[in-house]
Amino acid sequence: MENKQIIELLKEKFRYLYMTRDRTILEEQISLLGKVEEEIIKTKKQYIEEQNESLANLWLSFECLVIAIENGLKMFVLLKNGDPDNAWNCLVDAQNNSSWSIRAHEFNKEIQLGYVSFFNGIEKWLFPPQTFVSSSMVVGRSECSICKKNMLDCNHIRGQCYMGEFCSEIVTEIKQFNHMAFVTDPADKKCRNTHTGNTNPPKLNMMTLKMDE
Amino acid sequence: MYYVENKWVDNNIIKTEGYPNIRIKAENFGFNVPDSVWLLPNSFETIKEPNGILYSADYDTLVKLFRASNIPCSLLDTNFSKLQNNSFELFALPLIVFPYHFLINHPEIIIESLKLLSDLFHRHSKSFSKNESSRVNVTIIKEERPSSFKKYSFQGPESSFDKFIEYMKNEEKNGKQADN
Repeated sequence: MENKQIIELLKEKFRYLYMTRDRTILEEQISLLGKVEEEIIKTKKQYIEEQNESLANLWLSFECLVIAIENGLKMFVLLKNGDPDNAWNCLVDAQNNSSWSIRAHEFNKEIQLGYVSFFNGIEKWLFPPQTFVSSSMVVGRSECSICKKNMLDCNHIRGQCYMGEFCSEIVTEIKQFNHMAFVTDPADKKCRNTHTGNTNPPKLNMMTLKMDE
Repeated sequence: MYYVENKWVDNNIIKTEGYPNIRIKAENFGFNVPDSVWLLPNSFETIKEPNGILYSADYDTLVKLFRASNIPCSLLDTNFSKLQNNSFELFALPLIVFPYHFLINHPEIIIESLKLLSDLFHRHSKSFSKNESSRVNVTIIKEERPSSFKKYSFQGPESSFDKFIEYMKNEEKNGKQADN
């Protein structure tokens, strides 16, 4: 696939991201995008082999945005199936991947920021406000996901993209759990208070307000 | 007690205040003040014992940033642990200290370092729209004269960080004029 084709496809998929769309059509689109994702990964690997960093990052950016759209579609299917908890997880993946797409490569900021804003808007309009939690810990050692060296010893910066790959920090030694806090702006929106109630079921599901057994 | 001066520039707060003599404190703990940019744990001035020292999560990012730009930079020790909070912060940075003797030989180093930070913030907040610009928190300590320290901090959206650079440029200019 050519760059232009991918960008047109990314633009075109916006029209499926509505709650009113038929479930079968949404599922067809998910499977179609799965195939597109495979093709993108192949092309990205080719550029990595050629050591062409700029194009490898561009195709990583395409990959992220396709994953974001796939997750957006899955979110609507799960909502239709009455599974808002897993739909929330898909929304978070969609939000993260659309942001990462911009960080990897800005190929069309209008489309890319359009998806970021769209998924942020969905959070506000389709889901109730969440109570997020955040852990705090003392890290003794961590390593770089790219070169596996001690995080202090290499030159890769966490969150930046290198040859089609994001640098992330892998914590290899937690010395101490410090505290857990309720926060409004968490690093991971999947860390949230899902239920309230006693240790034993039934517990109140904070998404549906149903008592879960 | 030290004076505190708060300056509001739009919605951002730039705070200037006196700072204790951390040279003595570091030496009491068995550390020497380096001839380089010095990265210290936050609230170093209140730490009672060197055993409990914890760096903030992104101290290593800063070390890499300075290293890549050939700016000499030192830590107290490389064996300290760091505190990782999973709440969202664009970067959890340590105190950035500019010792007097290093500043004398590298008068542009503060602005140069802040520009590096500005680039880093900008790269990492590209995916935020203008309305939801990510907030940053930066504290620098300048040793203006031997053993006389001043703390400058900025708290505000990443998109306004350049105003802090402008503020520091003016401070440098005013300092030079006062010296003359």
